[in-house]
Amino acid sequence: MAALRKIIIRLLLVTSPCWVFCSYLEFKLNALENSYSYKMNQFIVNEKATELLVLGNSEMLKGLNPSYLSSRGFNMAHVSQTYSIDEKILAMYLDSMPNLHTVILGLSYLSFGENLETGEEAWRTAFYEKHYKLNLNQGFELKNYAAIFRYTPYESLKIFLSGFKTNLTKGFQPNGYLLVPANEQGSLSDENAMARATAHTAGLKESNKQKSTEALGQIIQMLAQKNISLWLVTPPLMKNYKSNLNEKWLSENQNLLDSMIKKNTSKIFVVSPETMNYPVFAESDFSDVNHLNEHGAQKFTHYIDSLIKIQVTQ
Amino acid sequence: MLFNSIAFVIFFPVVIAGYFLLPSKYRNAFLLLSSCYFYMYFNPVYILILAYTIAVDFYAGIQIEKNIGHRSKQKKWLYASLVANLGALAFFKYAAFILANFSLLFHWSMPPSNSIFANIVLPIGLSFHTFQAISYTVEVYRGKQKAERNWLVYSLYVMFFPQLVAGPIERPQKLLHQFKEHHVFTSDNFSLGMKWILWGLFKKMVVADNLSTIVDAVYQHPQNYQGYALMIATVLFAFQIYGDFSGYSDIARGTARVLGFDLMINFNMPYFSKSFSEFWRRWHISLSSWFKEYVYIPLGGNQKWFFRNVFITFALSGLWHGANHTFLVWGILNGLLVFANRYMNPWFGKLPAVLAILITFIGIDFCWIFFRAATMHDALYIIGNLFSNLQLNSLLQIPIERHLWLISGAMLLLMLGIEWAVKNSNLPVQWHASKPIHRIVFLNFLLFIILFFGVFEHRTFIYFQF
Repeated sequence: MAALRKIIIRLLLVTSPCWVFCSYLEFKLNALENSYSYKMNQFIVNEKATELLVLGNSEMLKGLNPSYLSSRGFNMAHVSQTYSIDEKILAMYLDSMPNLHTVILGLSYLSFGENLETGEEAWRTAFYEKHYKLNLNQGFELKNYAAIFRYTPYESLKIFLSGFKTNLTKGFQPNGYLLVPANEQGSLSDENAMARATAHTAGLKESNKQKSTEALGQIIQMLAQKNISLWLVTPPLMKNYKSNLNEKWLSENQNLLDSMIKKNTSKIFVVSPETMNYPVFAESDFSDVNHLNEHGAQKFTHYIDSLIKIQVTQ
Repeated sequence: MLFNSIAFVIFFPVVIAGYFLLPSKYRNAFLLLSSCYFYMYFNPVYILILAYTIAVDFYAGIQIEKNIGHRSKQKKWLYASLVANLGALAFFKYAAFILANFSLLFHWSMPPSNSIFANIVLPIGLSFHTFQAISYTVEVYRGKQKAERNWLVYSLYVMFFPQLVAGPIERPQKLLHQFKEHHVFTSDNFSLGMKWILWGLFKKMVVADNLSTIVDAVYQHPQNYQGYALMIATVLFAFQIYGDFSGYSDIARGTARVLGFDLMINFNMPYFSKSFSEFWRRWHISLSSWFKEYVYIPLGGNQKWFFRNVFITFALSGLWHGANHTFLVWGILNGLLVFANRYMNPWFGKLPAVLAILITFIGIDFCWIFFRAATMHDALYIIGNLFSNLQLNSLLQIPIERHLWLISGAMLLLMLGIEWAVKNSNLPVQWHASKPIHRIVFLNFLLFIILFFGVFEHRTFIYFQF
């Protein structure tokens, strides 16, 4: 056994250049601010005063700017954030927001069909575990313990080569909203809209519906217990994107939602372009076919705010 | 359990420590238990198949030896062993395939989708350990190997975890006696073994797994591509499967070496072969030599009925890989190349080495299309469209980020460059014998490459499906 001990020590010594570099990288990456750590830090600063919370995926992250709300709001939405994650965020932080009276939850084409834990964006789960302290039952995964694996080794190396100057919080505002400047517009072409809609449809799985529905049910229950209003909001989409979505999937989602709302007597409001008179959104309001830019977000937030105000006065 | 998984990173040190800390008399039992755990990590129930074939072959071996001088009785026991092994293989691997073909030929109705035949899951590594077991009883029958009387040693011969699920397919003369020897932990074995493991991980995680992203993108939907995209994916698959399988073999060899065991070399720079028959002497050596010893030579070898013998051997080799027409065609095509090789040898020998290597590669790579394609329809589509619409921008249709192309290309060249430089597949041995400073620099370089350019998604090994 002395030989075994000796060789392990020798192995550690001869591989030390690699471990020293990895340790340095790990240390620096842990100190690096990313969108999740930034949002959580800002949330902690604002949680006591937060009256309105925005949840949902990137459509809500880029589509609703709490600066234009009458109540003090915080945008907790993030890219590919599913109802299951929204539910865990609420379960974890609801008690820390004593003034919360409204939750705005995104209702998107993807809402019932995606599962962050198993989908292509599963790498994001480690950031929720690390920075939001959510328990996503991911089992033993290196990415939950090492920043190099959380960012992926290749990306970590790129960040190192940039001298750790990579800005991972670009556009994120102190209220959680992700501002996309009007001059940073992606392609709004019909081809791109079709490709995006097709890719989104391909990512939807019937098997994810149950988990999403259960999570939404939990959200409704949690908020009802605290007498907090729930606004299920569909942000505007470009026509060429919308026309390529799967109609059957959309109507099934609508039926699912209707049956859930009927079962509950709590304060739930559904806002969608099909049932409400949205203001007109021009091409200049979009950053791409299914996301608003800063102008679109301002317009949309004002509209939602007006609806909430009407409801409050009633 | 996958070699490239966290579970193995925990399992292996525990096995090393346990094996060398235990008194000699308990070591084989510990190794067998560890091997059972390793296998059961995939699917616990299938250990029963292994137990069954081990019991039959162990008993058959003893009976064959007991009946020396009674050839007919010996034959009976040999057949019993063959039926037990090949029967298990036939049921689990080929039942659905045979039924499907019969139903096609004789217009039978297929069993319903919920029938037992339609839902058989192939036990992992079945083809490998079955062939290894067969080689034992055949060698005992031929009188070249004494029957093993210790069931623990025989069980380990079949179940030794480094080579249990994907070979190398060892012969009893090479492996059995090693379980009876006293193995001492030595720093030499440890560091050489670790070098084999690291080199294998580089081939698997860095080369094969990066290439697989590109290859899979094309081969999962070949109808979306034409020309260069199909060509590039086919060429890259040749290197993906080499990195994947030879990487596995290197890790297996290294794992065994750390414990003091020696496994055979399974690959010897096959893509530097100058003829098709040379390729098959360098590719999956343990299987090629198995077919040579137990099928090709008993059929008559190259003495008589050469074409028939080559045809049967390669067709069986194709079917060994998978119960699918694509594998059968792959095997037959390779057989035709080897057959043609015999008559082209004088001409091939006069070619410049680079040209001979290139022609051999093109022939072998063409056959890989059938190996990788999911269906015959896909394979024929790919062949039919290899040269259509030859525009470089067709490569842009493959939904792969630019950096992945660069990493895959660079790592492939690195692997081939290193193998070319050392002139054989024994890189770890040469690395082990080099100057200390070179050893340390290369070790850190390889660790760095694996860590930052490797794929850590625990992708399975291609040959696990066989």
